Amino acid sequence: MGDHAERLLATLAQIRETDAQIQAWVSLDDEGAQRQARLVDERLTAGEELPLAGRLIGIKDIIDVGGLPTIAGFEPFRDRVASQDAPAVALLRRAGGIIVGKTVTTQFASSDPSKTKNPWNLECTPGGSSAGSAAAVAAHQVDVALGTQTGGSVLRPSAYCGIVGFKPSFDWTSTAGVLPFARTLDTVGIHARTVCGAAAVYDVLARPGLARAGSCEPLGPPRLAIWSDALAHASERMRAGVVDAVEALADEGALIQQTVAPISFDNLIALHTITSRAEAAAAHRELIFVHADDYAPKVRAMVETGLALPADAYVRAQQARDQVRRESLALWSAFDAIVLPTSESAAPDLSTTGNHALQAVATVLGLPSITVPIGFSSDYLPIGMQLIGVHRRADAHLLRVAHWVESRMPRLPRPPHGIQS
Amino acid sequence: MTTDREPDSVRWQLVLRTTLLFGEERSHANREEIESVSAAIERLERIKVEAFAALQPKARL
Repeated sequence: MGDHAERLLATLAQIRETDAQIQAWVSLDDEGAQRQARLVDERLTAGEELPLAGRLIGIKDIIDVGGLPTIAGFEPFRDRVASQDAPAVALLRRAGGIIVGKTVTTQFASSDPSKTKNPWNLECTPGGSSAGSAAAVAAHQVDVALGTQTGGSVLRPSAYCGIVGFKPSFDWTSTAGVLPFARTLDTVGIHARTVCGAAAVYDVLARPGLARAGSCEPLGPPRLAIWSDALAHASERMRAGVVDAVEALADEGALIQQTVAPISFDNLIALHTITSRAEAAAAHRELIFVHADDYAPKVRAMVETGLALPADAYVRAQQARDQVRRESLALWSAFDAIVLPTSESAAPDLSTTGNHALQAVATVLGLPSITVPIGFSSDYLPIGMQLIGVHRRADAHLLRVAHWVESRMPRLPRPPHGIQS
Repeated sequence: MTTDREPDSVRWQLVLRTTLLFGEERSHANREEIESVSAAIERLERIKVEAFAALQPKARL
């Protein structure tokens, strides 16, 4: 048995043992993963170069993996088996990645809490909607995982679980085979324990023509702008944590200034609210009339309200988004990244997945965003700093800036729940 | 649902439309969601967008 096949066998047993508490997985694909691991060993022996050789990968359960059901937390989809891999999954396999299974999502990647627990404290949410993907990476069950973000579903769970979460620019990779919720917002994202781990996956999945992060070499000290309007939307403790981290970065040579957005933070969130409801209604307009009682309460309310939303409000919101995108480019072009807290607080209890506002501002503008762990709250829960890239081609540049930041922040230990060695 | 029943209020229009679509008993568009969306629409009215400005009535000379 080759190295990767051996490691996989041992890890699968550890996942089962630790997942009794964390509940990050919908299904584990033992047979398929073992087949892939043997194939990776054979390809390496044959001299192939595989950028993700043997990386263990979890896939959020709204993304198709051939032969496994895509349930999306929705009971009527329990037997909806995908006939083929989503293109993103196929690319991961081709690069030597081993798909371990499907990770838990909130229903339809929306905001009703899932069963997954936070590996740092089982009484706390891991966030949502990519709850299982973030928890599985934080618990060292897998090396990386794919998630998706329509509001804050990659960055918030990553911050709550103390890992790196990267949402590249809108449409950076194919969303074919990904269950849609809001067509101009849905973006595939990456959960990893380091920026370089996320960069390796980005380089495999990014569309041709987009710059690659390469070996993730950091740049010199970056020019960072604190978004003061956004800072005000975080708790006092979170603000203090981010300001302390920014001061530490300034001591290391980063140039720090303050900035605002072309419109207020609350108005940006209003554009996200209108867009997400209208587009969710379009995606669910048939399903909800057939299976209304199988919908979780929050997503049901969103879709029903979206169906009642005046069409002119949606069109006006899209025009406003276009204008704000143009104006923000002019306003922020002198900076390498915009800095804000990733979440308003550390992970709350299990009754909620947390507030999406601080992450949704990048999503509504289609800009890349990344969260990097910067330490702990007073309750020993991880907190993260968010960096937003200043234009839609800034993915690789943002990864390098984030790597510079990460290398100046304390490295978090393993969480108390999960694989320990 | 109790809400502002001014016939031209955004809230009331959303309540009316969801009730028409789903019926009063069946609608799950709860107060929190209606408040969130109607507040967003009201904010949208205050965002100055170039594309709309061209359509505003000109002041009479």
